[in-house]
Amino acid sequence: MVFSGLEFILYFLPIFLAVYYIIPQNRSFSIPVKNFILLVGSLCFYAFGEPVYVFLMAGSVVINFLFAQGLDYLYGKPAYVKLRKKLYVFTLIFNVGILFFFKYCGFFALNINILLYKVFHITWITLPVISEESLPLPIGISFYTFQILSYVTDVYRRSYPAEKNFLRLGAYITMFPQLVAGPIVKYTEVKKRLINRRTTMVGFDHGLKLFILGMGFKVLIANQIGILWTDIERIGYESISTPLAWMGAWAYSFQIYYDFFGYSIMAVGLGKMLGFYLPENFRDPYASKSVTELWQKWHITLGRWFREYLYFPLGGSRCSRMRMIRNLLVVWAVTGFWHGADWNFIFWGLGWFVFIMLEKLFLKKYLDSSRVLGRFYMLFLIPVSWIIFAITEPDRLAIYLNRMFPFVKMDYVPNVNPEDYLRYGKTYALLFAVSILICVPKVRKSLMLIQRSRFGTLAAYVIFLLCLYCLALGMDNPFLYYKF
Amino acid sequence: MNQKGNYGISLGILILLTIWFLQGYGIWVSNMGYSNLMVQGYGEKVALAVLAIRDGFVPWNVLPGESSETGSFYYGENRLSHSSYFAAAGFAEEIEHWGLQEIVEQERMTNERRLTTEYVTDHLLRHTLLEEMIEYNDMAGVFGEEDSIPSLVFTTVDDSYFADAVFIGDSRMQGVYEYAGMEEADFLAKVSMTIYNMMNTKVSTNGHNETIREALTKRQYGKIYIMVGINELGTADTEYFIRHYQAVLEEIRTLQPDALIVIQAIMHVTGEKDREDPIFNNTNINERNEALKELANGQNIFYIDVNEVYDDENGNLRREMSADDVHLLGNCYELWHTFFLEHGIVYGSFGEE
Repeated sequence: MVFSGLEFILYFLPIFLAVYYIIPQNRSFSIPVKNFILLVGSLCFYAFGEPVYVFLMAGSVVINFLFAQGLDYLYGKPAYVKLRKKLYVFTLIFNVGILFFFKYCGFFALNINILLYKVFHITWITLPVISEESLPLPIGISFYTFQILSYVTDVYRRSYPAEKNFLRLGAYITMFPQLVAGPIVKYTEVKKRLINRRTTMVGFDHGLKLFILGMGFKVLIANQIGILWTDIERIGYESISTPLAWMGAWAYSFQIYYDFFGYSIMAVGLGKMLGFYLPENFRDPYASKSVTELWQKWHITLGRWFREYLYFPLGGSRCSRMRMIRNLLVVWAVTGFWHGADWNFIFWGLGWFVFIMLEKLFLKKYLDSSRVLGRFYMLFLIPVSWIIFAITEPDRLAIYLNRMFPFVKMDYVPNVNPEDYLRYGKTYALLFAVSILICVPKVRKSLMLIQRSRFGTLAAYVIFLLCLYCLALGMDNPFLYYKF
Repeated sequence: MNQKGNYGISLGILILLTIWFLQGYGIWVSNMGYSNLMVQGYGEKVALAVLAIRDGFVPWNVLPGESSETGSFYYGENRLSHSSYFAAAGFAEEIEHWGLQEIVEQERMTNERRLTTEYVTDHLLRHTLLEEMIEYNDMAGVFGEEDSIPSLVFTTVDDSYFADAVFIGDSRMQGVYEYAGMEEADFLAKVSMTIYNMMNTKVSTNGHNETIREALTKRQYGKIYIMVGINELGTADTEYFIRHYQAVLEEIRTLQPDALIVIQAIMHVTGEKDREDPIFNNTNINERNEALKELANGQNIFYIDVNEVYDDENGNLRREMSADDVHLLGNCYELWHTFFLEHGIVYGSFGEE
């Protein structure tokens, strides 16, 4: 189930909220019962999309609950120091192993086969490559695995004792607002609220409006501007003009931002309705003037995770320059790989590494000296990076980049309609204007005020109706992106 | 509990009421026979209600007694859908029980053709053509073959042939407009055009800014190519589709008495799509193409099938030709241009069929 689907908005959410709110507050049983409802509701939410993998997730939660208990039990006993460490390492391998199995097995098998064949000319051994159809990726596994890893690592580091109450831990990991696409919440951020929280009318009010605002970003901006990207796929990368190639790259950049940003806001809004404060995931990333700044504002909770659980343990920047470079290299390669099991994601991550290194070495000084320079630099980098992210096949990626930078002659048959960008420009002008406008920090902040004003209530209702309309149209034409 | 919080409750209640209202409305319109094959699954009724309101399917347009009597919202035995498309084509027409003919008549009365220079030259040209025909006839008389009016045959032509041609159609024609490089021809194409909304569709190709009915009233064309039908697959059945197609052809004929009309077969989808999609598959397309073929009369209405160019051995659109399984890639349209050139319709040499 996704937040922007009719089944969630029309059925799951109203029913869940009704059950959740019907439990009286301030009784001894209130919080445990609410946690229980949250856990069961989240499992239902997940089971709707993943009727089988819900058991994988539930099992994972139970096992990690026990591992954490074990880590706590072994703590402070000198005889068990080594055993404790072993248990921790085992826990890591267990969790990463599951993620690896579902997400990366196919990729590794395929590439090892290629290596064996092309480099060593071995034909008598080929690993079975499991196709995505026979072993689909469990929804949200990258996100909840990272949350579990942060929890067991914190317990191992004694940042806080292991949670003794299974309901609380279960509700933390499976909590449906953040289950599928983050934010990657740390246990300390919700622990207090899992022990004691109040659901207030104000929280409900703000949460509902934020949820609708996020839905607006997703349905009214991301989905709509995404159509331009599918238009380009339909035409074929070979046959787009250079201006259209840049428009497409920006359209994709906006689509991915408003999709993810909208989803994160919806998560925060849902959290508020349930009495939680989930961390914000985006803070005007496209208004950045350097890559360093972009990554402090883009998918904040993921950056935080990598910093705390990978970069710092590797030594961070408090070591020799060479080691720091190595650490950054590892972090960015893994960041890229986390986004998807393919080479283009690794290159995408490494591309960011290169620019961050350049900035660290000398570029940042120049960028800081001139706002205009920084803006142009990002205006150019953001779309190019997302194109590398979007196109998995190397040969097609090369064609697209060649259309963006038509300086070399490549071996394909173009059939460009040189005025195509005018037509699409006209169609998407308004959407582009809105997308750019909301990237301005002040505009975004004033939109967020929707939750506090009386006018916001009306605005939220209008946004809701518009979303409903667009979703219904999407159902009328299941190929929202493919209008014939 | 502060005052602000109460707005949230009001908003929540308002949203719930809206949903309930739409749900109820959706049930009502579906009982009235309004349905849409594409809208399925959760929230079906709510979506249906939204679409119905968009299409003008509102209580004051739809009186239960009348509609069930005329059967305008029921079609066939199993209440096959009249979806949005049909409604968009004009509700009133349907309630009037195929009042299309009357509307056409009215239009013809009101839109008297102006004798512009363009029209006169056009007319003269056609007149010469007529004389030629008579000449042929005379010759036939000489040779003693009374009946053999020279027949129109397919032959290879060059681009000048399209100087008086217009191409009307959906996204596939839009693709031809943008990528086939047919500079000579006129295009009246628009994404998601259907036979139901065709005449009222406002097009912006070739700098036009008018509906197709307006365009066909203003200018006379020598050849009219039509390509619609893929968007209609989810709507009603073949018989209904063909009936409507026929009606549109008749209207075009009254607007353009001398034009050759070329009905184009609906282009296939790829094998992947064919297997997966219960609606947009080649079985359905072929069924409608067979019926479209019947509309051609070999005299001034012809049928051509571009699928012979693009099909693989299984009769599906070749996979490498399409990224979305429905549309051609930009660099695959040139073949279509060639196909058009190879299917020019001219007067055949003497006595040829």
